[in-house]
Amino acid sequence: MWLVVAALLLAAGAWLMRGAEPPERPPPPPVRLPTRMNSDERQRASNRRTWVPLAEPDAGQVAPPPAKDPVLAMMPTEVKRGAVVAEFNAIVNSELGGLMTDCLFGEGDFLGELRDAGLDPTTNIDRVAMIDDSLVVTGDFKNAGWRKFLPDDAVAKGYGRQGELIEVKREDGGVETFATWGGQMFVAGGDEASQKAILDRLDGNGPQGARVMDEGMAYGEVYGVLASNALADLIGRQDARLGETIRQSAKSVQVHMDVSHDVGLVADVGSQDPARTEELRRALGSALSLARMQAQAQGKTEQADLLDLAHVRSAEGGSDFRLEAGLPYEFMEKTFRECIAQRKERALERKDAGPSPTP
Amino acid sequence: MRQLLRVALDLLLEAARRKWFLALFGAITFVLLLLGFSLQLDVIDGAIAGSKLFGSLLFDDIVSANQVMAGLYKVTAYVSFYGGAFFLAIACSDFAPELLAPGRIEHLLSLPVSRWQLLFGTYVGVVTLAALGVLYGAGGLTVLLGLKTGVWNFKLLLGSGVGWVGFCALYAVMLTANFFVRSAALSGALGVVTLILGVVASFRESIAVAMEAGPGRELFGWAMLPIPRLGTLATVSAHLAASEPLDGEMVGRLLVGCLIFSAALLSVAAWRFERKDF
Repeated sequence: MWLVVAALLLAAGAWLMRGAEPPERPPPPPVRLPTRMNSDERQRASNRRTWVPLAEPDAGQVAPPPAKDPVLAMMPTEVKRGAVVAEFNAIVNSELGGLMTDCLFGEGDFLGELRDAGLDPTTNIDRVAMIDDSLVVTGDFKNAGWRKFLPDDAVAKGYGRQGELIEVKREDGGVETFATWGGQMFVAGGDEASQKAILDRLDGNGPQGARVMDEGMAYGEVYGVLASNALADLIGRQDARLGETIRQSAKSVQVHMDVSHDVGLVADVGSQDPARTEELRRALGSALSLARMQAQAQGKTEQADLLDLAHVRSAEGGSDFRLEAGLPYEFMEKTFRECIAQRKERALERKDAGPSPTP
Repeated sequence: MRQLLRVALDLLLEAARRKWFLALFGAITFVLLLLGFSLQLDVIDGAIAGSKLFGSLLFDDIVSANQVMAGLYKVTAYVSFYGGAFFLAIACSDFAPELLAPGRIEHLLSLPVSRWQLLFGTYVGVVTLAALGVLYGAGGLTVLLGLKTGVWNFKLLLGSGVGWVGFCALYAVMLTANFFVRSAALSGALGVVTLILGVVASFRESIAVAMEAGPGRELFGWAMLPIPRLGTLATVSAHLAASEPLDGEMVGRLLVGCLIFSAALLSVAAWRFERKDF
């Protein structure tokens, strides 16, 4: 009897004291994290196997080499900074895509001019990839009138089987180059050599060997590989010690981001030195915990909730580890709406200020 | 009920015979005298021009006496809450082992007193003793500060009352533990551990965010639910002493919750006592 009374009293006391505290905030909704390829992504990858390497005729060859995704085919065997692919079309047509487009481009003239030129980014562009300093845009550019943006003195020269190099004179006297391939790729950034290297790989002439990215890695709306040095430089600007630890411990970082509804990020950190990688894992885990506690102590509950979605997990049976983070749909929607409102405010201010006086 | 109060009274008489009162009140008087001689508060027309503790300057700007006193009462309430709870947990740790000492317990059980009356009587006796100590300490400090500054604030007594409710929970744990293992050291240690757990329970949401989301965090949250929020009670005590506004319902819930926790622990002790052979 006494024990029953004790249990009831404990429960009553707990209920009473819980009522004396501020109401609990509901936990943030779960965010989908891209940890593996789903069936839709497998189908997408299969549909993209359109590129067949042009092999030299060989009497001994029985079957043609298997078809590949051209974006994966143009990937180098190693990167200095990283190679990241964004599923541009999927992103702009996602639930957040409309808001994101309005935030990035607004109702300015740039988007209109592109559409007038027959290049609607929301329909013509499929993917955008960054390979070190080169930007590669894929999509349907066969009928696009994008050439109207080129100056009159631009020179186009054929390169390889389907490539084209376009030279444009800069104001400082130098020459800027762009490249296109098969009416479905546009390459900018980097130098001429790097653009030619991309075209070479698309012609099947590049160095042989495993690419930095394969089909199994093409899941999520953003995916790719970052070189540890690039990440170390980036983080090192904020925290020099952490940057150095990354440089010494991580081999590479494989990134996957899902933006189909919420934003979920998964970064798999490959180990170079298991002991140092463990140190890095602990450092990141501690930094997240500390940031969560600081946010909670400062009453920034929304920030604390977001940090609550971030975790550092050990990879099974290895020295690698995985960093997960998430931004719920509601948060992203609010952020984009604020961005759009700010953009409109700035546009109104510019309108009120009128045209700037010419000197 | 009369038997229960008689047990409590016997405990107080026993404490007086053992010069326990003398030691407790001597210690409190020593602290009060130490403060009385070292704290120099120069009050000029309701403003304190300088307040010196142990000869070193604490405040060098002229501020409202009420403002200074509110801060002083707040600090005093915090120190009294935690210091008092710690001191009483150690000082009162040997009452229950003495009660259960071989020879004495057999004698007590031979008297026309039921076991639960013996248990609750001992508890009431010790918490009454603690109440007298708290009253003496808080009252003495109020008089000391009042005489020194001319600002009379009796809220410190209320704040100390909150601290006393916190001690009731600590002593319930200490007393109950003795029916499982008769040890003054363990009893005192458990009192201190409960005080720490009470602070952890008060800040459990802030602490929980440092844990990975999952079963561990959930378990921590649920485990902390019945523990009295002693850290919050300390804050309540400080706010009361400093005459700051408080949510009455919240304070009421915390205090009643703390007393219910004590009753729950005493029920466990009663269950154990009923089944124990001496």
